[in-house]
Amino acid sequence: MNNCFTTAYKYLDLRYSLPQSWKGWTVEDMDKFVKDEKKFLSRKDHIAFFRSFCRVVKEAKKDDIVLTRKSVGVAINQFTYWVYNEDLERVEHLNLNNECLIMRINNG
Amino acid sequence: MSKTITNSVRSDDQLAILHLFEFHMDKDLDGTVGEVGEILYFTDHDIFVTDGTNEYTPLAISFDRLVEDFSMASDSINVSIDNINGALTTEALASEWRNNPAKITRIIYTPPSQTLDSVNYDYGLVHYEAATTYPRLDISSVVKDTYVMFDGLIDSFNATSQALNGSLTTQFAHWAKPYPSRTYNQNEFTSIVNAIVDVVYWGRQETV
Repeated sequence: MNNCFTTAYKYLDLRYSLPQSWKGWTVEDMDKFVKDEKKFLSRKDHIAFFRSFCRVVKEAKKDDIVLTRKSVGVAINQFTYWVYNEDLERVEHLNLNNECLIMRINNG
Repeated sequence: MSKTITNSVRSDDQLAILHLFEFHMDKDLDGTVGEVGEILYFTDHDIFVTDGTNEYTPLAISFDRLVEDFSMASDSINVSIDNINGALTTEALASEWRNNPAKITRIIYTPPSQTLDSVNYDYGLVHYEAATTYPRLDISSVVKDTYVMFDGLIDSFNATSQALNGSLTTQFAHWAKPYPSRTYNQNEFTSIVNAIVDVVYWGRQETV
């Protein structure tokens, strides 16, 4: 099972070794996370998770994390980011906009 | 200027056209051409395009019809870029565009064949890509004809919250000028401003 968070997490974890657990949640809970996605997103846990090891930046660059109210994506460059679209079951690219919160991994 | 025209693609009926745009930016604001800090790569295609080396970002970008002057050469061309999220404004104001190289290339290509669910599509599927990477067209290995439509300099630009408009001129624009009518180096602004605010006191410079 995939969603935008798990896809972005797997992509970033391969390159930057992200934390394997957070507040009682571990990477083994990926399926559980997909199942409880709405709860996770409404609590803004996705933002809190990335905030625990990232800093907010104003201008995006490749592999920055792009967070919106309902999705987690990865920046391609300063103009665009990619995100997994669950309805289409594939990754698509979108333009960055003012609603996007951009975070950069502290050691990234 | 001679142009080499190839006709590889048009031996077949199926073809597609896209344009690649390259804008050289000077991050240091020192106006030194050749000391370019960054090159912005854009395309008017609706997904990313890679030529094997560079990746072109899809943007709503358009340019005027090329007009040739009496010497059968294009003198200048206007380009309009959709200013998504204001990021281009930030880029435009933080960088020196003017007098830096710009290039527009037209690619006519045969869409690569693709297979989906064991069905082969000779001329590709529109926008189908693997689920784990963003859609991207690799033109490095497809049959294509490449035309450099315009290779010149960025003459001027202006940015609004909706669009960024630029005027490109040919590199030959300088040939007719024995002395530059204008310069692009912003460093000289400092000396101009100093001259404006300098206070002259009874025919000599006021030092106090």
